[in-house]
Order: sequence, then C-alpha cells, then structure tokens
Amino acid sequence: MLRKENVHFRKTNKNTVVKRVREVYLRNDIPCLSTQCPKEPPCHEAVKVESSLLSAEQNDYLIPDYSVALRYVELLEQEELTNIIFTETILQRLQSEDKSRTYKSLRQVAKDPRRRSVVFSNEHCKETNVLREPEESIEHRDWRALVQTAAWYRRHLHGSANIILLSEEFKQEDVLRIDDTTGITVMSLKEYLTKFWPKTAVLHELLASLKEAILEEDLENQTQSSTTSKKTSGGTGYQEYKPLSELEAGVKSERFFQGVMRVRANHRDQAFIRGDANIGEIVIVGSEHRNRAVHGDVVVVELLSKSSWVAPSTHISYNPEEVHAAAEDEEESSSRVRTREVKPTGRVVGIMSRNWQPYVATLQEGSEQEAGSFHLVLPLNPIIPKIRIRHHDAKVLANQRIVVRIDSWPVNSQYPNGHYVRSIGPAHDLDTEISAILIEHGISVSQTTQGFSEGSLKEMPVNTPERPWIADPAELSRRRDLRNHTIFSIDPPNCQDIDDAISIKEIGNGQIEFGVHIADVSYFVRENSLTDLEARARGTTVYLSDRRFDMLPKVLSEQLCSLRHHVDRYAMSVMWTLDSEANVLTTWYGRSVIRSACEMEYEQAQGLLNGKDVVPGLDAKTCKQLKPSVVLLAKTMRKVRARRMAKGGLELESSEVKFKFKEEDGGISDILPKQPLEVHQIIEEAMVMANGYVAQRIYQGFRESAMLRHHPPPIESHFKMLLRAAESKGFSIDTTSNLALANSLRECAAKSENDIEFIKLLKTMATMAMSEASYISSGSFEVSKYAHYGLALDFYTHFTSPIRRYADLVVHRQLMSCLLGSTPQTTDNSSDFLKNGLKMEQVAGHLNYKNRESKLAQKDSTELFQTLYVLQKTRNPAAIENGGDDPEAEDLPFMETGIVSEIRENGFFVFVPRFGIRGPVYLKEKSGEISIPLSALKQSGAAAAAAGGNDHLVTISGCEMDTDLMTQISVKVPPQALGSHAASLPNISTLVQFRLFDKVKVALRLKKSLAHRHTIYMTLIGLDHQSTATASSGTGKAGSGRGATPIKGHSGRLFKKAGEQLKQDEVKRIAQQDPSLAPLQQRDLIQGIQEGQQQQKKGGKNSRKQQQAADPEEVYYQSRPESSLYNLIESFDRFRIVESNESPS
Amino acid sequence: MSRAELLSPEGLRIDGRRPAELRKITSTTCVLSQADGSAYLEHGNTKVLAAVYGPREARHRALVLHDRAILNVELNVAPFSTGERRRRSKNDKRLLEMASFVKQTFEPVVIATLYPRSQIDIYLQVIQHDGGTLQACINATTMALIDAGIAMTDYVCACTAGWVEREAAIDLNYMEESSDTSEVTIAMLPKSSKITLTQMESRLHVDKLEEVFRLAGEGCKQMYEVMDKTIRDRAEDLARKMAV
Repeated sequence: MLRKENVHFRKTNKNTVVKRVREVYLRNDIPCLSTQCPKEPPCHEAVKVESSLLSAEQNDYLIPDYSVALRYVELLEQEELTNIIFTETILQRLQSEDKSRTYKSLRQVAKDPRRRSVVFSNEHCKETNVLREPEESIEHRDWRALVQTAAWYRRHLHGSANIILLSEEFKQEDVLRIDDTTGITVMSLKEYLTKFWPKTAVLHELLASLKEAILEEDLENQTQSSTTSKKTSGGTGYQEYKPLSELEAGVKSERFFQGVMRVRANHRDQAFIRGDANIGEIVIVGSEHRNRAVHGDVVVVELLSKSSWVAPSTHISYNPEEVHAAAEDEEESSSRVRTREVKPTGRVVGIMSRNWQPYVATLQEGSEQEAGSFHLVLPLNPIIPKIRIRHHDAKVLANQRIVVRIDSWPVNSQYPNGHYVRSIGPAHDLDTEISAILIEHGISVSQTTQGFSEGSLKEMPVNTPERPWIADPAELSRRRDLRNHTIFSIDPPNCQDIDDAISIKEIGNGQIEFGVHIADVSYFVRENSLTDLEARARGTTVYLSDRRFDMLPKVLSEQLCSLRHHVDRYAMSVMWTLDSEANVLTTWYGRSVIRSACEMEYEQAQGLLNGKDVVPGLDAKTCKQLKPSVVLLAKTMRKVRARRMAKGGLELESSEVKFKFKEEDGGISDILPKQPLEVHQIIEEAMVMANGYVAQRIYQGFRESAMLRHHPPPIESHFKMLLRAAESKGFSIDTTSNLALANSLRECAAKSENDIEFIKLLKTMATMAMSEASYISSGSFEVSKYAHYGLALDFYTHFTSPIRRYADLVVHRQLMSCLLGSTPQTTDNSSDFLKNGLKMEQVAGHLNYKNRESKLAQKDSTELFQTLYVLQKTRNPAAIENGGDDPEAEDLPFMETGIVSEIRENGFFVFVPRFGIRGPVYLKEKSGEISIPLSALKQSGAAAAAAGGNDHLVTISGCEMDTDLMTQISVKVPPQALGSHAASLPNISTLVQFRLFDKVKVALRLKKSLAHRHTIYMTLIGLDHQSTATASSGTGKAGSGRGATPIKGHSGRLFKKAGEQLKQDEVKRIAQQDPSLAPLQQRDLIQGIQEGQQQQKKGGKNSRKQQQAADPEEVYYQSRPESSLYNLIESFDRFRIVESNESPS
Repeated sequence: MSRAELLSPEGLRIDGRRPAELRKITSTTCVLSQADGSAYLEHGNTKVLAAVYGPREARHRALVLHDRAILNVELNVAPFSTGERRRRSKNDKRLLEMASFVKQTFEPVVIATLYPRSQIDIYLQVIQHDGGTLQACINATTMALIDAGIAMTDYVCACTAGWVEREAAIDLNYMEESSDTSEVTIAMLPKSSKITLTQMESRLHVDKLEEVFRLAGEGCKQMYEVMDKTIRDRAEDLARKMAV
C-alpha cells in the first residue's frame, strides 16, 4: 500500500483559513467487480465484497461522468441500462456538493443486483488515482481520473470489454490527449442512446425532457444571478428556509418541531406533522404556511402564536382545487371554529429532506392551446400541488396521464418546477388508470410486466407438457411421505396459487392428528438466487380487482409450488397431535411430500359442513371421502377459536367487495360484498394456529433475528370515534384491553341482533382504530412487544403464503435452519443472512413498505372499479346512442339504501353496504346554500321516494342547519322556504334529523373529472327509516347564529350539481319524461336552473379571481372519495391491514 | 453539508483502509541523546515523541517509596499539533487524565522493585495529532522504556478500535474519532494476552463490545510485531557496532 497525503485549505467558522491534511492510502486490491476478470481467482473474490458484478454477457461498460450523473440520474435509473461503473470520483463530488438525493439514487442503482452495476473506488486504487496538477480545474482532474479508470479497466480485463465514457462536456479528443485509449469511446447520452437503444422511445423521450429541464434551470440561474437575489417576490408568500444549523439547534431546543408532513386527504388545505409527546399533532393551514413543502417531506415547523391557532376543519371538501380558495372559507367560519378545540398550528421554516417521487399527472385542461412551453399539470393525487413542466409539444400530452417529477421549488414560484418523464396513456382508459395506480404505489416495472430476467428463468425447474416435472427420488427420501394422508385445500373459486392444504384425522384415544401443509417455495427458490432477489424486491404479489401481479414466476406460483390435487407436491408441514378438547399434545415441523385429494372451494366446503352429501362441482366419491374431515376440522377449529377469543381475539370487519366481470366486454356485471362463511373462519383459524406455532419455533432458533409479525395495541385516542358512535346508540365500549373490547363489541352485537349493518359498521370503526400490524426482526424489539393485539397471540408470524409473500419465504428458511440445527454444511453465506438481526430488520422494513403499498394499490383499484360500476349504471343509454359522451345527456338515477356513517359540518358520509361504497352527501353547498330534497321531508321517506318518483329532484333551499359533530345533523326548513309545496303537501315535517347509523336512500352519482379519477358522491333522496325524528316547526332547536340565507325558489339541484348548462328545451324534455313533475314545476325548474347558472357564473368569477386557472368543469362539487371507509381526522398514515383477512384471497 | 460517509458500502474507510487495517506505523528509538531512553512513533499522521529519564533519585523526598521506584508521567500536546493552533494549559484535565492512564498502564508492567527509592520520569510530547493519541503514547512509552533498559515483564502494546457506522474498525483517525464514534482503547501484554488498560469513549452497545475487543486485541498483536522489529533491528545494529 502506498501512503499519500491530501492537503487542502478550508475556511473555518471563524473565517480563518486552516490547512487540513488528510492521509490517503492507495491500494492494489480494489476489485474490478467484473465476471470477466481474467485473474485466477477473480479479484473480487480475494476481498470480501457485497456487490453485484458486471456481467460477462454484455461487453460495453458505461462510465458516466459528473455532468451525466448529476443531471441525468433518472436516465441512469432506467432499468434498461446495465453494466454501469460508478466511480468514486463522481460519488465523492456529489456528496461534497450536497447532492445527497442524486447520490442515493446512484447507490440504489449499484445495489440492485439486476442492474449489474458497480461502484469502483478509483480514488483509492493505486493505479487509477490521479493528482491534481497545478492550475488544473477540478472538472478536468476528475475527467482525467475517469479516463484513467477506463484505461485501467481496459488493461485489467485484457481488452475484452469496451468502455464507454458518457459525458456531456468532454469529447473523444479529450481522451487522446491523456492516455493510450483504444477501446475507450466517449459518447454523449444522445449518441449512446441512438447507437444502442434506437428503438426504445421511452429513453429518448426521457432524455429530451431532462435536457429541457436542464436548459430551464440554467436559464433560471442566469436570470437569478442577473437580478441578484430578490428574496421574496411574485407575491407567492413563501419564505426562504432557515439555515440548517439554525433548524437543528431549534429542534434540539424544542423551539421548532420536526416531522413528516402529511396532507389531509379530505381537506387539502390542511397538513399536519406529529410533534413530540407533549404537543401532539401540529396543524399547518394554507399554502403560505406550508411554505413549499410537499406531502411526505420531513419538515421543521415553528409554532404560531396561540391566538392564531385553529381547529382542524370538519367539512367535507367540495373540490380538489379549493386549496387556495379555502382560506377565505376558513376566515368566514373561524368564529365558529375557534369555539371548538383548537390545535397547535405552525408554519414550515425548513425542510430536512424531500420525499419527491414520480407523480402521475394530467395536463391542465386548455393548457395545450396556450403558447409557450411551460405548462401546469395536475397530479392525480390531489394532495400534491400542481407542477410546472416544460414540454415543447403540449398537444401530444393533452388528455394523457403522464409521469412527472419535481425538480425544485424556488421561493418565488407559486408551483414547483418539474419535468415530464413519460406518458402512460389516455386518461380514464382502464389500463392507463391501473398503470397509474401501480406507479403511484411504487410497484416496479418488472413486476407489472410480469417479467423475470432470463437468468432467473434459467434457475426455474422445467415443467412443460413434453417434459413434465417429476419429484426427485433422492429428495423424496429426505422428506416425510404424507401422500397416503387425506389432504385437501379450500380456496376461493379459480384459485391458481394454492399455498396451503389441510389434513385431519382421528388416531384413536380421542386424539386427532391435524396438519397444515404449506407450499415449499424455499426448496425451489434458493437464497440469493436471482429469483430470490427479484422476489425480495417485489415483496408481495399484488392483487388488484381484476388482475394480479405475481411475486414468483408462473411456473412456480401456478404449477410447481401450488398444491394442486392429484399430483405430488413438496410441502412444509406442521403436524399436531391434539386431544379431544383440541389441546396440543405434540407438534412436528418439517419438509414433506403430499398429494392433495381435492381443491375445494369455500362454498363447496360450507356445503359439506352444512350436512349436504354432494355439492356441486365435486363427485360423490370425493365428497364422501372429505366430508368427515371437513366436519372434524370445523369441530376442532371451533374449539381452538373459542379459546383464542376468550383470550381477547378480536373479530373485526372490513368491507371487502368482489367484482364480477362480464365476459364479452370486460364490463362489471356486479359488485358482491364478501360473503362471510363459517369455513372462512375455520381456515383462517388453522392458518393462525400454524403461524403462531411457527413463530414460537423460529424465535427459539433465532432470538436475535426471527421474522415475526407484531400488532401493537391501538392508541387510546383513536377510539374516540367508536366510543361516540356507540354512545349515540346507547352502548358503552370498554377499550382498555383487547379482551374488554372484544367483549363489549360482542355485547353490542347481542343487543342489536336485527341491525346487522350497525354491527358491521361498529366493527369496521374498531378496525380503523387499530394500529397497523408489521413485520419485525425479533432482535430489534423487546419480547413484550412481539404480541399480536388483534389475534391475542404472544408470537405470530406469516408462514402460510410463501407463494405470494416474501416474508413467509424468509420464515420458511428460518424454520428449516432451526430444524436442521447445527449441521455445518448448511452454514454458507446464506444462513448468515438469516442470523443477521440488522439485515432482517431492513428486510422487514422493506416488506412492510411493500405490503402497505400493495394494499393501498388494491384499495385504489377497488375504488376505481366501483366508480366504473357507478359510471356504467348511471350512463344514459341516450348518451351512448348519440355517440359517446354527450355532455347534455342526463345521468340515470342509481338509487341505493345506505347508512349514515360519519357526520360532518356540512353534510355526512353514507356507506352503501351493498357495494362497499362510501360517499359524501352535501347538505350545505359550497356557496353556503343549505338545501334538502322535498322527498326527505315527507313523513315516511321511503314510501314517498317510491311513490312520488321525482320528488327528490325538487329541493327546498334556504334551510338552516345545526350539527352536533359526530352524532347528528339536523336541517330545519323555514315555512316560507317551502313556498308552493306547503299547500300541496300538508303532511310535512319541517325538521329533519340525520343521526349516525340512520338508514337513508341516496342516489349514487359520479363527479367526472379529467385530471383526477372520477369520484362518487351521493345525493339524498329520503330517509329509509321507520322512526325518523320529526318535530313540529316550532320546537326545533335548529337555528344557528348566522343570518338566514335569502329565500330562493326551488332549483334543479340535481342539474346544477352536475354543473351542466341545461337549455330550456332540455328541461322540457325531462319534464316530458316525468309527467308528474311537469305541470306544476316546470316554471320553477327553469327558474332554478337560470339561477343556478347565474350563481355558477358568479362562483366562476370568484374562483378565477382567487386562482388564475380554475378548471371550468370543476366549479362545482368534486371530491375524491374519502379513502374507503372512515377517514378519521387522525388516520392518515395508518392504513390498517387487519389480520382477519388472513385466509388466502 | 452532508456528513461524509465513514465507511463506504465497498468496505473502504475514509482514508482508504479496510476496517481491520492499521495505519502506517513508523518508529525509531534512541532519538534523543540527552535522555536515558527515547522513542519516536508515528501512527499515520499521529506523531509522538517519548523520553525516559531514570531510574534516578527522586526529586521529592516525600514521595520516595522504600521498596520500589515511582513512575512519573508528563504529557504535553504541541500547540501546532492540529490544523488550528491551540495552546493547552499544563493543567488541562484531559491531558492529566491521559498521563495518569499511561502511568497506570505501566505501573504493573515495569518491575519497579528492582529500583527502590528511585523515580522514573516519562515525558511525552504529541507533535502531530490525527486520532489515537493514547495508543500512540503508550506504544511510544514502551519503546522508550525498553531503550532506557528498564526492566519490564513484557511489551505493552495499545490499540484503539471502534464501531464505525456498521462495522468494527481499528486505529481510528481524527475524522472517524470526531464524529461521535464509540471508541475503545486497550493496552495489552502480547505474550500473555493480559490487558492492563481499557478505556472507552462514548457509548457502545454491549452486543458489539466483543467484536470491538477482539479487533483491538488483534491490533495490539500487530503493533507488537512492528515494535518488536524496530527494537530488534536497533539492538542488532548496536551489537554490530560493538563487535566492530
């Protein structure tokens, strides 16, 4: 080794110049990390390294220079480019110039084994270290260092590889001056792409858009330097961030607070961070206070003075674009708001780290017509601000979903600057929307294209019709042969990836032998093989409503691992001997070979359990063989379950739905709520039992690094909603422990047996209050933290679905390693991984993330299909005849019964259990108008809606409203507002109350939007309740302090709401269709519409004033559906995944 | 400014060493003719000069022990030893503490009963500072004592090790030391593997302690090789001169 000293001068804080001397050692043992290394043994084996290796198949190695690495990271991140050598020179420079985001992305590329890219420590390699010459610029020295590295690679590999230096600044001539350089080519990115990827349009497009972004940045720098830093300008109201040192000091002294900023999905004007325990949540209201932070950024917040603290809004938001307009509203209602519980409010003074991701967005409508190359795009996710991008030809992008990245957000710019990455497809196209979901949730391209690299496919066993896979006799002899046992699987219909099978039989003495057999994926997928790495990266199979993205190659997931019937399959088995009371006497774990007798469906198993002798789809012989097993299984599992329930296991609910698709056109024929059968519970219980026992076993073997799944107890305050809800119905709920909670829920259920919906909603509320279960490495937590709250188990893990979850695969390996004990031949580098608590923790974190994202993607896709279904149902056949989307065709009404699930200040949420849809009903419109349909006023709303037909089209406006937040909302109709109806309908109540859990009849409607997904909202039709609270006009306690709104005629609320410009003849047409409506109300209708239009114009003007470019189509109601059920104020970051859906889907 | 990576994913430390590698060590003995024994030692850029006077008559009668010699250690850090000039007072608590560490390290090793009623003075001068001062001081003292011909039971070799980011590393330099790395210095008698001093800065998780200790122990053995070679070379050189 050669010792050298680097000397440089640096200015200190005290403004003195100090000489710093640093020692540097130059080594000979820096490995080339190429599989082509001619040395024997290859030089990367001589030293211990964990790195991917440059592949031998491809002979072109890329070395990007600083100009490329800094500005074209995204191109380097593209999966097509492989065999990249990142030199230490550029990495060090990125770090020293504080480009840690770029640095991290490059590191990520090098870490990904599929990219075959490496980091070469050229600065520490004796042969490639370059000294800076006197008067030489840093750029030039770094360039020489790269050329030196290229030349070294060339020499080291004996010229067997071509080295391509990627640079935007230097040319081929620049190399010649330095070294003998045959085989080293200098290319700009453009030259490189044209030569090697002429057909991959994505790369070319990306390059073009990056180039433009850079051009723009340069321009900006120039203008900035010319106008010499005008600090705050443009009236954006943003402020410069405070210097990092001040922020850090502030956070330490608790003057500032640091946290991840999250924007409320239901109220985009408000964001919050979680401060420390003393202060709790800090609210950030308005874009000025948010000060250029974007959802997910780690920000530093300064508290405002107490007088300007506000309470978080409880309105249902109307429009995703109201972010700026909403500030006004806030003022108006602030007098009222202040009286409620205010929360600490703050403003962002600095940002510790950005969390900018690729966002799916749509060009703002009309923008493509405008001249110039700057355009605003609206991200699909409305909590992300609009982004300004530069694109030369915006027409191409119109109505397309595009992927956009944010580059910067200067203080003088209203919106962040970003650039276009690529286009996904036309908006509202099903495939586009699904790709958008996948991109938003970070599901990798390789998974979405179902692709596996050639290398990993080579690792797969062969199973073709010509050469079917057969079990290896040697392997068979090592396994316990369970082929003579009666084993069966119970899954949903058409299940391809069968993870688990079950066997049960009586073995005399009242003892039962019970076995759970899980597909032995770990046998086929070796640790650290390419398939394994890919599966680890994917983390889980992603199930969307109509498709599935596998974690493992099809040959495994659908064929060799899947426990199909009548074939030999390898399995990991857990076998228990139980006594007659289902107490465990002995447990056996191990590898086995099984032959499933039957792939049963849930319905079939339930049939057998119900006592049928033959069920459809199974022949009589199989039925006869399986029936005793199923019955015995049910009997045993009931006992096990009862015991777990007695310990405090919770029975929770989630409103899962299934979609039935039409075969001909892929349309949705129906939405079916998940039918709970007893068999589901039974299978679930068996799996929980297996998981629990395996968890205990691997914890014995791996105290420090067992992959467990824990579920922390919920935070008490999250139960607030549940408690209030139960209280309104007269129940009290004890949330002190899981047992207490389970008991009180059971009590509620027992007392209100006839009201299934109420119980279901109550349970869902409980579910929502839960914390999120997550994977942990046992070494990172105390033993007491391992417990699973929901299942009431001390140890729990995931063992039963290795085909679709990577965590299970890890658990299988850990279990195998425990069983083999200390046999030395298995302790290669792989078991090192299983024992390493730190690595296990990383994997657990990664899997938690993937799991969450996959669940969120699943939820989004469910919502997407629900809106599609509503779209189908409401689409007017007339409109279709007229050729597609005739804007003037009125939607068909689509009525359903729902249940009030949450009360807000200006309306309430209705949950329609039939479809699992939840949507807002607005009583108070954005304009402040409170109105209620006539039909809701009639004594028995349901009958009226049925008989009266179109009463719901007529609304009474000018009502007054009063809310008792969370439990009830009441609307009082002043007699004068009734107008002409008072005479025609004498039997009418003037006070309507909506209480939590009231049943109401609603019409499902769709707010169409170009930039966002269509959203479902509902309009009230009437109450569907026997005992609707009615009161005479005089006794109503309604009437707030606010002045009565001016009395207005009945307006065609429905039409107005859709924001469509109805012509008079259109009204006539509708009136003709509904004769009952025509004679009396036609005039009123027209009047109403005209007023509606005027108002709309006014509203339009206003909003235009506040915000330069309001979308014309989005003037009225619009709301992203609140995430599927209860978007509690507190419940942002916790999308709860409940263990009750443990059974394979 | 982002904090520099102390250990790159390629397993290289900030100065290009791997975790278990020592810095370059240079040592000579007999550099001062005035002193009875002296040594000069470099651990990379940490440079220490040690001078031993004695055994000689104790300066203060009161301190004299009848059965053995007393050790007196004085440590001084040159103002020019770091990039920024800084003068340290003689009563700097850190320096006094370090001096007493050195004293405690050698008290059981020096066979003091051979020199009753006398005093051995050890003067240490840190000329340049780049991390690991204590280990350098101890190693330099060992060599100076040997050069002075004072009887000892064994060499005393010291080495630091610490937990750098995610791995145990030895012989931390100033950059690694200053970023709040937990650091253990041990002094060892290489032949018996007995430890005469352990000292720890900052906190270290107990799980990692074993690994750090093991590495520091290995470092001590390596130090022994280097120091022993210098001493033997010097001795051979002297022997050759005497033969002539």
